[in-house]
Amino acid sequence: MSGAIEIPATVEAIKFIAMTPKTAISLFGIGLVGGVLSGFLGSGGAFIMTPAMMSLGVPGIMAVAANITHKFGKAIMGSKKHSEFGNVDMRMGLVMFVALFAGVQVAVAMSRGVLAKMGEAGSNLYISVVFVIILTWVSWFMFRDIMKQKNGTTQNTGKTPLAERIRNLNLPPMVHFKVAGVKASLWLALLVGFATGFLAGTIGVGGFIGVPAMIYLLGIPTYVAAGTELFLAIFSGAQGAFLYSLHGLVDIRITLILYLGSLIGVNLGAIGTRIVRGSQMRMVMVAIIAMVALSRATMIPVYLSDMGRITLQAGTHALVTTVSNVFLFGSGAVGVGIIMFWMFQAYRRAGNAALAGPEATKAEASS
Amino acid sequence: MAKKHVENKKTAMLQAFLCLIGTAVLYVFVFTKMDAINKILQSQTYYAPLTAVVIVLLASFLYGTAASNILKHTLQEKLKSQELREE
Repeated sequence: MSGAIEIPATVEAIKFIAMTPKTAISLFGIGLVGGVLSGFLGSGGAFIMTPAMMSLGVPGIMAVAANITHKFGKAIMGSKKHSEFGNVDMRMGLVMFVALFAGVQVAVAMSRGVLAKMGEAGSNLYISVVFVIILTWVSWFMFRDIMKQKNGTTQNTGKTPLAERIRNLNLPPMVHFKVAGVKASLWLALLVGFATGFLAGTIGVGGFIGVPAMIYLLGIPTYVAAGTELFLAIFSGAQGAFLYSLHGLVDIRITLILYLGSLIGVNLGAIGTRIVRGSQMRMVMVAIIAMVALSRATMIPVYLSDMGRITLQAGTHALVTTVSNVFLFGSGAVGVGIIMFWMFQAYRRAGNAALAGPEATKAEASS
Repeated sequence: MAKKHVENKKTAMLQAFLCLIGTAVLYVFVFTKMDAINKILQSQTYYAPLTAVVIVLLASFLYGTAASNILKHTLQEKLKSQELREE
């Protein structure tokens, strides 16, 4: 998703890390995890890849630069794979991109205002609070919907009553999104794009909002939402790669090593979308979003302490930060673990079916 | 039909192999010429994004095509019987 691509005015010192085998293997693993999540959900790489790179000693701004530069190529190859499966609605992507871009600009202006008024700790607190409220609401909404579908209280059509109600507004002009198979008001698509961009610009993880918004507000199938989201990421990736490299912040070695993992991961994730139901994809998203929200909620006392509103001892400060990181990295591990588990199960079933096939054929032939 | 599939698989695997060689050449080139490339990337001129984008596009195309072709004719083919599409 088109995140808030803003280069800070005070760029921290550019530091190139030593590329030891251990660092390279770690970067490969980070890329693989981010790639699987992106390929499966259409988003969800950045929130874990950037802090993971920072924990390897990469300066924050260079971690963001490496991630967004690598996202450009990953999104191209990922959306190419998804379009092979008929999962990319380019018309929807282009409409959303225009509105989303405007949303990001408004959000960045607002966030700058908060930063100027409340300082860095206040800004962090603002972002975390918005993050927790929005992501908790999204994950709760999605969880409730999945449970309803599971209990059979709604028809399993992939279109929720809310999406139907909003679509029934029929505010002209209506646009037919062919690949997604929905006819929606252009204004609604623009509004969803703008809101998504605004939240992406505020909390930096637009995909977690964009994909659910496309599913629930526009009634798009989960697979198409994931593929279209990756298509959208091409634009933000291109913009980010251009801006960050123009400022000399891209360490191309990191980007190249990330590719070794992420391009395998993004293909694995996209193949994974073929063997699961839409509700399963949403379930993985709910698990990740909820854990990320929990991670941010854990950090709120730290930011309040940084602002001098509450007192936290140094040990508690470090402990809370560690707990928050455990939730954050745990969310990626849980997400990838579930996806890989389902793929492994499908692989075994396919193997059993292939074994049973010739046997069944033999039995048929002998009878 | 089966013969055509085998031919497609062979072509795809050959393409993947060539792309992997291309990837290796690109990576060796970038990592051995790192100092010169970094100088361009640090220049804060339009050559920096141009260089970064060319490297990124080449790497993602070559390695991405190789990964996609290999997985398409191995894992994806194996999982074909398990495909679901309920929405």
